[in-house]
Amino acid sequence: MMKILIVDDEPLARQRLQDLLQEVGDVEVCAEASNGREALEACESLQPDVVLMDIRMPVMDGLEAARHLSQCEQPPAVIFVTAYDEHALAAFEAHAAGYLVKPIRASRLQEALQHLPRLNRAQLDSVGQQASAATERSHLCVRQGGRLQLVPVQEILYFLAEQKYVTACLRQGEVLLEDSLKALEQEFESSFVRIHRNALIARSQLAGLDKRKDEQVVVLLRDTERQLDVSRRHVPGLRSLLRRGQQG
Amino acid sequence: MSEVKQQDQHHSGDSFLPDFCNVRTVFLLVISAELFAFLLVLSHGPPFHWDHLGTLSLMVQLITLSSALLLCSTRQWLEDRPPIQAGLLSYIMVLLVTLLVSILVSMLDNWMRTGSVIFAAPLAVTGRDMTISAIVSAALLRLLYLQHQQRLHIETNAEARVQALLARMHPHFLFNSLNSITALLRKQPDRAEHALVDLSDLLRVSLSDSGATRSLQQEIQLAQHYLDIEALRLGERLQVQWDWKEGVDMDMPLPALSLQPLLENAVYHGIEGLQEGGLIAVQGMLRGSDLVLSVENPVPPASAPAQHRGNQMAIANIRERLQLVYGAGASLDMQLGDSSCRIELVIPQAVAAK
Repeated sequence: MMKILIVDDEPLARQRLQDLLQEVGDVEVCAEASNGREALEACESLQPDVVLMDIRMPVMDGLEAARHLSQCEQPPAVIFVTAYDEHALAAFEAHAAGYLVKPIRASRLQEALQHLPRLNRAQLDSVGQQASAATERSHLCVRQGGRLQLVPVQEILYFLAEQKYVTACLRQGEVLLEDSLKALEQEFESSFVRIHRNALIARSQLAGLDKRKDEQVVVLLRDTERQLDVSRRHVPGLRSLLRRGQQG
Repeated sequence: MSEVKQQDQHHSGDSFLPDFCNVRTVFLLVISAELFAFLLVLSHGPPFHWDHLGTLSLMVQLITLSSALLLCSTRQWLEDRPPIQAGLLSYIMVLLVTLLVSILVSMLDNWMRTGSVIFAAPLAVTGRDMTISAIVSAALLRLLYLQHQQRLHIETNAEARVQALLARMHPHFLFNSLNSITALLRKQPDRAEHALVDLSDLLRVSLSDSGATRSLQQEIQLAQHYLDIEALRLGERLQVQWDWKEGVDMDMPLPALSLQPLLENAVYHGIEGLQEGGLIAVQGMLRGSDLVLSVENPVPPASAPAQHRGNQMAIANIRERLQLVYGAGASLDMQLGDSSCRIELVIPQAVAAK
């Protein structure tokens, strides 16, 4: 029997899918989730075969969830369910992936389940990336001790590259990432700023600049005592950011 | 930042000068130039001098092709400039080419006749060539400019019409509502029926003439129907608080669909993006004799830039409609904070009551 996960933030929309799936038969709804983040957690613990996923959802949207799912060892088949989303439709057309439009027709759902669009990882990833190219991820997906951990980007104070790895430092604790600092800088350009060859800080964390005794400029952060070194060439940029912050 | 980029694109994509590197353009130019040469010889009129046509064609074609070559090779550079500047610069280029060719042809003519390479053309000849070239290329540039203006006009018109349609009914809302109703049909047919009637009312007003006016009371009722439909989807997440201050005249006429789009905006860009939902506070009060409607709602912490843009578009649309009806007396302001968005709509009562 096919294990299905339903992901939609609207209870009625989930209800509708439940009803339709009952008609289709030979499937088991293993869980419901109301946003992308919950969906990832449910996938981790329940290993569904298929995810029926809405696109516009709070906390984490469906496209981003798909992007994270694509990193799994055995990603489930994802069928997007959307009311109307031009950007998403454009992405699907480019990749001929599975999607259904609301209100869903029972026969279309059955068809989609019969011909599962088992996208390979690269396709899934690029669908997610294309459609959310303008938007950065809201969460970083990390595996620690085999467990999936989702880190909200808003809670990250800074990224630090040390030897082989990049660490994301949170208010409490830190996590190791596989992304490169350069990729992170590009993706989160609107919320993070480069201060050194090995560090990016959250723009909202920037509290001030200081000089140590050895003349090294350091940055002061709002939510941590730790001071990070600033390269000389990034000092002017940070100064003007600070000035603008004060004016705003 | 993005605005600057857009402007750049605007310039390079929308230059009114045709692509002089294009074979078709060059071919048309050659034909037109030849016809022009023919015309010039014809005007010297009868008898028709074939040898005259020969020299003149040579000269006109030389000017045309050299100008095209010059404009083609400076294309990128010209496109980076504002249209007026690009036009002037290309005009100057054509005149310079004419001057050079005119001198060159005079020298050639002189050499063939006397064997001397010294420039000995009378100033009058060069002056005549320059004047003709100045008039013809100015006329041509003007024609190209007008053609371009007309194309732009058609494009903006079409876009405006699409925008107006989008402002009336968001497909996102429509299909989501239909989905909720489908879900309700089996188990709660009475709620489904109610929702269908609400949706019909909304559709009826959306499809009506955009210049129609309705009373404030009717507008509030319509907004309520809209919220009832959204409540199906959002349930507890959608909370609304109404606050009508004393003195607000419920019979006051408003342009149709003044209030509902503000609420739709609050739902789409605010409540929908919040896992826990939130409260939309609607307030109506008098300021002097003006009616002030305000809608305040929480927004998700890190709204994507794309959302802001959509937001601004819907707002701009309402503002435009208000301006058509009331002129400068009406206003619509949006304050977008980190966690909330407030929209204030001011409608002059005196004018509205006319």
